[in-house]
Amino acid sequence: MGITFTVYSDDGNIDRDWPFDIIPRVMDANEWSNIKSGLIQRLEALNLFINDLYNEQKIIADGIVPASLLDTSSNFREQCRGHKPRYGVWAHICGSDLVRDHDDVMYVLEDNLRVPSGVSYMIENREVMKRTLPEVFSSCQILPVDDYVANLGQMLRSLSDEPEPVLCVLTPGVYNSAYFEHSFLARELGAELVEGRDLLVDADECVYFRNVDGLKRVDVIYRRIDDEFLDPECFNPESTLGVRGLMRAWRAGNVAIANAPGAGVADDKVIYSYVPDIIRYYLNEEPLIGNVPTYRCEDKEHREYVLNNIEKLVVKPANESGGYGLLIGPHSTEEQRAETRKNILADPRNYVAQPTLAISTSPTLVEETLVPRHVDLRPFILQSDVTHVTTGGLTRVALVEGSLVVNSSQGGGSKDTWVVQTNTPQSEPPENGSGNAMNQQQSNNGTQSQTRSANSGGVKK
Amino acid sequence: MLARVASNLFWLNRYLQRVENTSRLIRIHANLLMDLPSADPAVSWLPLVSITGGDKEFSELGSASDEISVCNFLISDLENPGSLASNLNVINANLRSSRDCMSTDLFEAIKNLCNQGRTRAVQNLSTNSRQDLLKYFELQSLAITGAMSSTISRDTGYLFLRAGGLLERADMTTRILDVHSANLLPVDGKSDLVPFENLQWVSVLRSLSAFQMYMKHVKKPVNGSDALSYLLQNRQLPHAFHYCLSELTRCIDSIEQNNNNVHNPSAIPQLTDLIETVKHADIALLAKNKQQLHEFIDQLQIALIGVSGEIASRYFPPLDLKSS
Repeated sequence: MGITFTVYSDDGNIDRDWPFDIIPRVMDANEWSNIKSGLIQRLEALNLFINDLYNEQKIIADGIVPASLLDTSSNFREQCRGHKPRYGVWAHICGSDLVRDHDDVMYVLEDNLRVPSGVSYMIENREVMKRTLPEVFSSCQILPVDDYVANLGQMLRSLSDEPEPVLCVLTPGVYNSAYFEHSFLARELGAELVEGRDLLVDADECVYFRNVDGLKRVDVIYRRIDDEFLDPECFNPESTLGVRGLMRAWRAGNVAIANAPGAGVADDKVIYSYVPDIIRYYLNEEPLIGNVPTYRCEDKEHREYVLNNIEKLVVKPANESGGYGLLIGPHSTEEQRAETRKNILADPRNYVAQPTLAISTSPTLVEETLVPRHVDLRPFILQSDVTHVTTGGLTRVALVEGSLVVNSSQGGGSKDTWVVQTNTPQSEPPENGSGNAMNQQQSNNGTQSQTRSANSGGVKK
Repeated sequence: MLARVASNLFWLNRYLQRVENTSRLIRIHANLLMDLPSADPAVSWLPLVSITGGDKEFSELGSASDEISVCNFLISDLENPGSLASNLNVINANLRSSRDCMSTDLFEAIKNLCNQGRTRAVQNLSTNSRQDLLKYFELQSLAITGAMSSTISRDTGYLFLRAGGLLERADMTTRILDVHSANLLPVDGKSDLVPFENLQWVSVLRSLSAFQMYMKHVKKPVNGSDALSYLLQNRQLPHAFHYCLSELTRCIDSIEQNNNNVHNPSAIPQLTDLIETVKHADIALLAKNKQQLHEFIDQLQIALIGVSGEIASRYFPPLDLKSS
């Protein structure tokens, strides 16, 4: 192994190193099992939501989500209207960011439904840990994470009618910051790693590889390119990363694309604030994992509150990712706050704000001593005909003291995440475990999630 | 195999060969100059610039044609697309998309070459550390060739790697012959350098790792005519033009057998013609006549470009898609 790990640390000039912290973050399997159910619930509801938005739009007719939100959403793709992908699933791969607040409760901070990355680091981090601390792995029951790629492959294959569908991973190219992951996944999936120029949509509206010996049909594309670069015919005409005609082939049902174009509409941070309602609307269930209370700046009252309390809040642009354009009130300068106020007033629809959470910390090795550093957790959820959640996920850690920004594009590092089976009276797998301790834990968490819903409900008024 | 990946492998090995050959060329040339009377720069360092095709870029720099400037230009100058450092950058980027086709040994050998190159190929190297670095490049290139020949399966990817390497080697042999001979061969038998002519032919042979094999097989003192014949027509010497082309023909033939692509013409007829041309060349005449040798080599180089073009149009992605 190790080899693949050396690749990205070696590639000094193209990739920044991915700083890895050797101290794992540990979670209890019982707690994890609840989080897992919550994540599945959330993604199922989000997919029902996306499918509804591109078809009947019942949720808008019923007045749960305002229509104006769609008109102003930069990730709503008119070109996807009326399409019904298999299983009604648009977001096949979701990376949700979870944080633990001072009340010890996990919240979803955001849903990444476009091209979430980091899963390869989760797998590689575990490999490194197994090499470094093999004794620990034999003495306690750390649940494995390496079934992800097999599940991903199964999910992708389920999107095609072919008995042995041809898969490919579509990458923007070798200079993309996540190229390592694209190549890792392609290799592990047995899929061809392609760039846009390797594919061609022929007159029959099918997608083909340009091979040495001619054209070869492609059935499923796991794309790691943003919507707007996918097809110059449909979206950004300047894009050289995409494939001309890809949207036609997709709409004709000749190729499956994961995540489906347009899935990012639910990635909008304003829509995020409606997710608890979305879950209630489609599933008729209470959310198992709460949202962080969110102020929508387009709402006059919320906006006033945000502008007056900006130094206490975290302000986020609605459609950015990677921590760009973020303002952390308590850590900001007067100048930055003024700038953000100006931006909010200019385009209120594009901003949301949340209270600054006391995000939990995890012991981290800095210059040979252990110090607390803030962490978040990104589990990966897969959905097609069945749903899978990674065990744990990628723990990202802000390496700078006091910093709350863990994004890898902003200088964060990562840790291995150990979901540990603590009470194992029987040798049953964790999902089916039914020990007393666990039941108690579940009812505890049940209470907590009610409190959470009440909290987030309060803010929405 | 994806057409783009095939093209990457082909070019990857061309660049690798270029690094190996250029390194050896500079190192051997520096050794030769130590033996020659101090002469004008036209015959000292400038020929290296011409061999690597950098005349235009170098003259634009407007710097002196002394040892330091020429070596900086050829080794560390990132503005010069033909410098070793630039070649290593191309190799490094290329490696990212070719990795799946390689063994770990091969990948790491190439990666080491790139990493060492990036840290060690700096401006104004002392003669000593320059010669060390060049020797390192040559040895590491041999390690790469070794890993290529003993750790990867003879699949289509390997065949494209090999084809690129052979084509580049044939090309380098013609370049070295062309420029060196232009400066070496007496126009009218009266050059100041006539006494050193054989010494220079030794250097040409050494630049192509061919001196020892020449002594072993030709068994005659080094002279223009025999050296030229050996480097162009020998069928056993790895850097000889004929050898490279015969191997390339076999390689292309295997690619064609693996991939039934009948839409575009094959490169094999061109290769066969080219081999015939070299086999029947009047070497004795060429060795004496600078102008005719130059024209003959020009003809070979144009033919090589044609072969490369045929391979590209048959197997690689269309050119208009390459620039993204």
